[in-house]
Amino acid sequence: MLLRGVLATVLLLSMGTEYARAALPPVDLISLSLEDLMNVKVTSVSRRPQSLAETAAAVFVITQDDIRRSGATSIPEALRMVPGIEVARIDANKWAITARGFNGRFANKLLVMIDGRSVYTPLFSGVFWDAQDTVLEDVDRIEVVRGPGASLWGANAVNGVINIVTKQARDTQGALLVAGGGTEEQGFTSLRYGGQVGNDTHYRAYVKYFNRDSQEFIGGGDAADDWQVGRAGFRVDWEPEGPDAVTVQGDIYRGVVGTTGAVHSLTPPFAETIDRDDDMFGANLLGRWTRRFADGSDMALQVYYDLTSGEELGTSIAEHTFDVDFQHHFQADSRNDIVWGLGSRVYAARFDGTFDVSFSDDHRTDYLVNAFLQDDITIVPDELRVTLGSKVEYNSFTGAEIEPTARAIWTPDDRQSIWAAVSRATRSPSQTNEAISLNSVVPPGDPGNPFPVPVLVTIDGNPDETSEDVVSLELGYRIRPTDDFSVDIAGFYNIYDNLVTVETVGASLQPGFVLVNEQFDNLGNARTYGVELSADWRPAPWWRLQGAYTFLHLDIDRDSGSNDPLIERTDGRDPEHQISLRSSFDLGNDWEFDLWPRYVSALPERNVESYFTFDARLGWRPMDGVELALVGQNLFDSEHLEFTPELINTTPTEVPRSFYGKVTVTF
Amino acid sequence: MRLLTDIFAHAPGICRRSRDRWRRRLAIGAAVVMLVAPSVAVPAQEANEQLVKVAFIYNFAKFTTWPDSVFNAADAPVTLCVVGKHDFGDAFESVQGKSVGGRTVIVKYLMALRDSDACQVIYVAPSEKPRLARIVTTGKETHALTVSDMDGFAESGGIIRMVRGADDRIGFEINAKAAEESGIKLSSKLLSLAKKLFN
Repeated sequence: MLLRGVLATVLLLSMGTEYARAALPPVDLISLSLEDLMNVKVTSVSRRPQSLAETAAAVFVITQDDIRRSGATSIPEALRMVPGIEVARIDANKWAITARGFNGRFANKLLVMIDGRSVYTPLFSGVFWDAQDTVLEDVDRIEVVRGPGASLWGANAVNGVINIVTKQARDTQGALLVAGGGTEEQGFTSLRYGGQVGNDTHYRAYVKYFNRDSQEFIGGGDAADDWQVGRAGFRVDWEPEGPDAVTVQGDIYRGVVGTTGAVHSLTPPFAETIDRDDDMFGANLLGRWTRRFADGSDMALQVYYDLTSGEELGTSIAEHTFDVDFQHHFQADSRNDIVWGLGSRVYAARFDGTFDVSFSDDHRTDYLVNAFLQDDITIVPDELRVTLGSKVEYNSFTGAEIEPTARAIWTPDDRQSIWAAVSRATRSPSQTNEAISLNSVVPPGDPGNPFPVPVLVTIDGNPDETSEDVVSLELGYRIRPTDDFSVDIAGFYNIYDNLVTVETVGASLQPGFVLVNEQFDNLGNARTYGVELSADWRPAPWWRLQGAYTFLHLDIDRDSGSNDPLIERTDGRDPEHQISLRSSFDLGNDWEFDLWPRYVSALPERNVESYFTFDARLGWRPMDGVELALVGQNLFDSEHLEFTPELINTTPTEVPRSFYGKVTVTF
Repeated sequence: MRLLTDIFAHAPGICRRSRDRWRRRLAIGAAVVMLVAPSVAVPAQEANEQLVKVAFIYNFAKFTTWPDSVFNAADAPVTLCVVGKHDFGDAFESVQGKSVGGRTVIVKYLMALRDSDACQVIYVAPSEKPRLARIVTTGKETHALTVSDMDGFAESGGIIRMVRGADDRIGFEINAKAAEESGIKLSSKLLSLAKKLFN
């Protein structure tokens, strides 16, 4: 129905602007002399961030150079430079990352993909950031879209999409060796080799290993959160003559991840803190066939399998994902650029629980199928474009979901653009939302327990959970007053409904303890708004400054039927202000010096104070193909706390000041 | 699976807008030059990279003389063949129907180059690197001007390679020997403007 509405609108718009087609401006570049042409400065290449100036969405791109000069040693750490994104390190191997609020270790409104493979797991509704890694030098770029991306990417792209894109095999030819170590980064190394087979096939293969030290508990004391991960992978790109190209890639990894956390029992001592070294294992294999036609249209068929498994504090999980996607992009006429697609995904999960965390079914399989259509319509050539699209998704949790978007961008001249968007997106329940059972025990004598016996609080999943949804209004402005200075501002107002709450549904006296039953429900709502600003300035050819500022405000409420006392307080769980300023000096003689101060305001409901810190990097290329770097991270103070986790009682640790050295050799 | 930049940035309007601006600014720049400082050159302008490269290719054709045998009629067109998977969008359309030495330019898009394709100018997309040797040979046999922006193109027997410099300006390298072997003549002006010459 809605799709038909969109199509009708598209048709109407097409007819109404028929006159626009004739008005192609004359071509002037080609009348220039060679000498003049050689003096023209070129501004954009496709797939370069500059072309994002044409995007009707809040977009930020982390380039390979940004990663290199940030000194970041992991994907989560690199994301700290992005406006509108919150990155908080819970302990050495756990992160809470979100866009536009609702942060948590199981932050569930951000979709993350690596080379087209979704790493958002419906198991816990979130991303296991410790498992997401690759050779950072082989990352081409990380595209970050804040705001709903559901019309293209589907459910769970509620507040944003992160797209990690690695280089093509033909751009990673030869050997790369990275080695280094330091105080927290106790040792890391990557080895990659890329080559060619026959005329049409390029490949690369890599191995990577790191050992990260433990951090310290709040108030001191060495924690047990040190971790080691080994990883290997490959990519093969076959590009024969003609329209077809095939990519096959895969990764496999195993790690040992340290965690400190509380486990409960109904007998003394009721709660105990234990240290665990847990196993993590995963593998994935992806194949993609693309066909590009001479008229500029293209289609792609992609299939992948992903296994993510791990243990934590005695529980263990394994999830198998099978996914197949098809998509077709073509220019219907001079104004309508259309992309549509179909997809299907199956998740098969296995759980093994403990007293604290258990599951009502230890095996479950879920699936979704979807179709989407998006039309990019040129209303006034060169000035006004409108994008209309929608995804229709059917999933085994909640049935059908419709996620439409309408966007417009007006580009009055080449120095500025203004865009606006209105979209709806949904977050489907996780497998755990439906099937989990979380136990915690309040011992007798605890100030919160008036009884002489322990109180067992059980939160149960709810098979009738519905999807959380958002309607998002966005507005953005980009301006480049000079060649050396640009500013990008985006603002949003989001209206959420059906947010997950934890409702108390009963209490009873059991032999030896008091049982309080709680259950997940969808009785929360919220209004959030924020402004994100990024600026890029080159005061001199050898100096670049890149700043980001994020303002965020959340008002979270419960519906009248809810008795969840906590949800209204969750709006103190995201920083209201965040500032990042990256300074990159090219000192000459192949020396580089980078500084990266950051400020994050307090999270009062998580007992986390505001912090200021900075990173610094000194890089030197003594000869072609060799780079040496010295990096100091979180230099401002000896340590600071960034987050305290929700749901699963792992103990947070503080992020310390650290140093490492690194050698990168290519040959 | 779909790249963000693909989704949002394939707006056909990008290139044309820069052209308009270029024209406006050129006019203003010219006025300033005439009124204020007759000796000062027009300040550096900006434009979309793909469109600038197409303009370069068009200029290369203007400075090229083909043996008469490649044209089967006095008014036969100059055919520009775009070979392989390129990322120029519709930028090549800006020279469709333009004139070179009294001949009309026709743009053809090919996924594979065959001997029977009568191309006077061949733009070789970077995707064709694995098949470069064969394309270069075909180009020579058919007296075509081969142009590309892929690494090592001129060293591998291609005639002109366009290079984006650190200053974000486009320059070019010429393999004069390859031009000679193809039986086409490049003007001395073109040769003199090349950043690098391979003989």
